[in-house]
Amino acid sequence: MYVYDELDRGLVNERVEEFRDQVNRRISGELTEEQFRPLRLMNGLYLQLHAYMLRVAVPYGVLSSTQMRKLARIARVYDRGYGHFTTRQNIQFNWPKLEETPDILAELAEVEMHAIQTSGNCIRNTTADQFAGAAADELEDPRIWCEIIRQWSTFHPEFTFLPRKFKIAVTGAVSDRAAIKVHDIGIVLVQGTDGEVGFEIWAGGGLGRTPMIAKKIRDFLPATDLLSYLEAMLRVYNRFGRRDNKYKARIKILVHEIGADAYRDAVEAEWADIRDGALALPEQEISRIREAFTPPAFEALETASTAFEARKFEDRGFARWVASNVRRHKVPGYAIANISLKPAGGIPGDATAEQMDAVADYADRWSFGELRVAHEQNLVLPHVRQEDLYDLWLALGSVELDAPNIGTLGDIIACPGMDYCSLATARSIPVAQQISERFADLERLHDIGSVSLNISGCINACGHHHVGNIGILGVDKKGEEFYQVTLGGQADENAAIGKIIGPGFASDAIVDAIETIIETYLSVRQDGETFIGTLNRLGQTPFKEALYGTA
Amino acid sequence: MALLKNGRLIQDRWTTVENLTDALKPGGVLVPLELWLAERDTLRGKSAVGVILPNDADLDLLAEDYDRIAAIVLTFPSMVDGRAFSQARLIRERFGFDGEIRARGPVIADQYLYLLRCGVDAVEVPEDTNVESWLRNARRFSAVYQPAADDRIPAYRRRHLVAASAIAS
Repeated sequence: MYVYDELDRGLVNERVEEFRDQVNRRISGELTEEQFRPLRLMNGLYLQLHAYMLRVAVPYGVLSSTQMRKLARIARVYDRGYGHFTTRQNIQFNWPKLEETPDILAELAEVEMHAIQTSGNCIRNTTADQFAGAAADELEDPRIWCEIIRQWSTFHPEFTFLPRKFKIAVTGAVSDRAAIKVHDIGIVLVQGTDGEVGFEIWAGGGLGRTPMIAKKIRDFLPATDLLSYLEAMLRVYNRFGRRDNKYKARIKILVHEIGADAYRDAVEAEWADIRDGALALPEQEISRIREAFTPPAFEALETASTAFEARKFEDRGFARWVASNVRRHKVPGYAIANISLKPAGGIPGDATAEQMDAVADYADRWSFGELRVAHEQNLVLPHVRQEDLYDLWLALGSVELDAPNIGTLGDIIACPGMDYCSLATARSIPVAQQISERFADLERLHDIGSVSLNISGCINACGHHHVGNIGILGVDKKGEEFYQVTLGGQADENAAIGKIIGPGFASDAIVDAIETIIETYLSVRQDGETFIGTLNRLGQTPFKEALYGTA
Repeated sequence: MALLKNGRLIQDRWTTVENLTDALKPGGVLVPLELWLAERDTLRGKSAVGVILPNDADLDLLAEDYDRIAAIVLTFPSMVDGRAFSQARLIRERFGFDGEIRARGPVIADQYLYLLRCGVDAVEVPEDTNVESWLRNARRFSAVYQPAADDRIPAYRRRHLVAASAIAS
């Protein structure tokens, strides 16, 4: 993991003092709420329906056990004993007091954490593949480049008052687990002709009111030029992105309106002027950061552990958890263990302070003290010996974190919705809870297999409904909550925006509608075909007929 | 309004004018971009002329003029409209302008560091401004993570300069 040097530490501590000063000036009245708002947002402090909410950055989803324990402490001391992991790999606390937030930030700074730029019209937390450094299909660890971007984007004097928020995602793997094509900028690590690592650059993806898949802007960017190219991309956006309408102020609209070619031309012209300047990354700095992500001291193990295979044979529940929650590791004898934060009937992404402390202990015991947050709102222990998986599974069961449902219908992404959020037009959490309860039977859940279901409580799409195989959007229709269903979305390397299937459903009918869709899939699927495979083969017609009858 | 410049609150000696007659009166004047473009040849003779730029202005329009203009006023319609931050950097770094760049609009003390880093060296502020609050913000951070229009060395270079000099000594 990256460890702060004195420059990093100084900056984060100075930020805490800056925010303390801003809170004091707000309380004294020197700052108006209008002036304070953008400042507090840039420190992740929102005013929600009932209280302030503090969003803490988890840079590219990486946490140490020490950091996780600090989050548990904050949940316990300053909040109501729990936190909520988000689709930006961050964590939100829902009940902090304004006057205590500087103290929370000071505590976070002790463990090299902060809430810098987790909101506001600036460059947000850069996200990455949650299996970075562990995935078998990876060219290089994307966290190296995420950390370089994190530093460059922090307190960027030119890009702190952009037209809107700005999100960057990086993947180093063949399978895209970071959803790079629905980001303002998506970066894919690729190999150049001489074998050196460089980047494929995408721009203009995004969800929200106008979902769009990103366009490829460059096939290959040399590593040294990463920051100068990003600066050129941001500068064109800052100068020419729309500001007349906040829903049209994202870069996707600029790229769409002027076209990807015109955007690329503008960026390349800007870049030509700055690429050889101070932004060129020194080789020593790339090496320094690369060293921070040196793999942990893996043992030389057999590819297959006989003890592990025997446990799977003996214990059906364990075998089921392995099948859904464990992924292949690049090192023989190791595995990636996903911890589902989606128990049947639970709130997607929520974890109690006790659970956070427990997974911190498990990380120390079985995963080199390392944890990850996935954008699907789950946790990951990235480096577990296969022969330790059984003990891990038992331990997870003792804190109710052993739901065997990663990648299944139970693994629902949902925004906080109208239970917390002042923008929401409908509730998301109760719908997620009802669906996961309806499909709680594990035999059935595993028979249905791989399918993503995402729920947003308003058009801003924080629950990523557009890219769920099944998407649910909550809307307000004359004071009643209504739920619109889309089918066919995908967030991976085959990114696609789902299409609306037909008229929406009332809150007491939406769960039945989802069940009808699933039953239809089960009745028409071919051997080994996933939900999205069947949908792509047959189109929406059978689902439409099952839901609305043949007209 | 007063002017915050070089760490002090000073009286603003420049007058904003709208037409050529006023522009040609003695003393420093700040003129709208359109007036400058229309009357450039006449105004060039005058020593103290500044140009007020809208924040969507094409900076190439002044490509031949940067060494003849004494000041440039950048416009902030609101504190969150950040287009002029890019303009400031380009005017300094690309066009090499070394006159005064001032910020006009409702910017606040918490933005002072960003303004300075982008090359803005004067800010129009109310007479009763708490200068100490602005200066505290300008001095707040002991390091920077990126190069800008100022001469601060970004962390990714500074780290290795320190290392290199430590080895040398």
